[in-house]
Amino acid sequence: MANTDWSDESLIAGIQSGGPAREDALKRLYQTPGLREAVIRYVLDNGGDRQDAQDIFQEALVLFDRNIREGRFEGKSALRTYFVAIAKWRWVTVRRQQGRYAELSPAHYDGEVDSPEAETIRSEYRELFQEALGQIGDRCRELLRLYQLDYSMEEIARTMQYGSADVAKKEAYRCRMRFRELLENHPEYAALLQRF
Amino acid sequence: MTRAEQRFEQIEQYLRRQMSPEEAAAFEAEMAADADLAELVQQHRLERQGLELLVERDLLAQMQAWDRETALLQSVAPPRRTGASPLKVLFRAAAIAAVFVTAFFGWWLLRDSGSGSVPETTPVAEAPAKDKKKSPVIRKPAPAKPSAPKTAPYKETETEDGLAGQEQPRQAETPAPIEEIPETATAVDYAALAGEFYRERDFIPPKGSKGGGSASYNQALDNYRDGRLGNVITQLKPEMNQGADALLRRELLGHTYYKNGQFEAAFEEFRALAATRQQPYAQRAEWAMALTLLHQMPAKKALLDRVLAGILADPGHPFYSQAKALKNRGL
Repeated sequence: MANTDWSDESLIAGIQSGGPAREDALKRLYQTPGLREAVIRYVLDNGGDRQDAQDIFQEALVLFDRNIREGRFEGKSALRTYFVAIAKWRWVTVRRQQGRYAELSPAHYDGEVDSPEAETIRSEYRELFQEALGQIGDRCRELLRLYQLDYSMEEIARTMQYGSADVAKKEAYRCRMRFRELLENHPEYAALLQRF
Repeated sequence: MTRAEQRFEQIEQYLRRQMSPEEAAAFEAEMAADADLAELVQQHRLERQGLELLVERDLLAQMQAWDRETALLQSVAPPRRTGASPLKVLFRAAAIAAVFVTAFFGWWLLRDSGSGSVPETTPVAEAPAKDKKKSPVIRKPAPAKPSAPKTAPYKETETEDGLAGQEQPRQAETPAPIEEIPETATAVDYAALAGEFYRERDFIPPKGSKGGGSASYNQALDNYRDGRLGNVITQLKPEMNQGADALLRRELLGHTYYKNGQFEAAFEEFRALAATRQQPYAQRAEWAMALTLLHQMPAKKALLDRVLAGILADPGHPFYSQAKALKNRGL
């Protein structure tokens, strides 16, 4: 049953617990009245168009989800404020990449979000990652997605119909090694690893 | 469990912050003393960044589904009640009463003057659709009588795109009567639907990134972003199959045609790209093919069905969720 009491704490707990609770929490946030409008207003006021604003809103949710899962939110502000700050930071990053802004200060957001460098690496090497992910097979992709979302091995075994948590763990390891091998075979990977 | 597996698990626990502060401190000390371990941890961290793409892809598809859900809810929500003046209410009631009285009078006249039995439903010839974007209709053959000429069977063909296809049934000399069943109550605007599903960033490198191609490709990319589509076509077409970034070039050319409304030309580029089977280009091209065909609906329905079926046959396809959502929109 969906949680109807959505305090900041319950949203965080929902996202961190993964599975349907995470989806419920993210959906709730995505549909929070006024949140999208706040992001759209900021982007429109700062040189973007409506499509940019919609993209930034969605990208902000992706970053927000990741930061919450990784425990990077330190509770210094309300969750809504944090979300809007991520969106602003993201838009400033995009504008800076376009050569439009120079005044970005990552420290402005308390280091709770990715550094611009990490973000740049991530966007530059998306192709490389996507290529490797495209070759590891459907089951490995799904398994690694669940693993990345911190599903327990028992949950993974149940969801993907493996005989036991041990089998799921073996499979996760095998898939991860396959992913690594594909990355290592890529000529640009060594350079990426050096820069990272 | 092998030693490598144990190490793997230990690193993952560290990166997932599943270690106690003491364990984490001990592990960090070990890393400080062992450069190989530190490098391995960095490698894990980088891989985890890459794996985030799986989560991101899934979440973006979910957001699209939530948007569609919201749009659907808004479209079926009862109209907002507005405060009508008593005079307006009276006028409406009078109008409705007048319609009923006229209808009854007409029925009464027809009943008295009719000499034979009146069919329960009178077939009414449907006017040809004026707007191509109107709701598609399913032409459902009426149950054939034994003496009625049969509709020509569907013919399996090998189409130019290499996919086994179905031709439209050939018109029989005396076609069986058809009844038209609107698929949905509201008109389907295929161009709008394609616009809803087409996300440029699924295909084109984001603004500010270099794009990963040669200098001439990057120049074409800049032109694309600035809307100088004619220049892009002139730049890319002559050297389409040359260079290490040939796939990128073809992809950009396809999307330039798409953006320019040249859907048939766009389809050809995407089809060629899909045929290379080189990922992720081919999978992106398959989804782009579907969106291009959507603009050419309903004429390209059979081909669109096959392209979508191809994507839906692979649950790991990066555009599986989108294809499923599109299919669920009554296509």
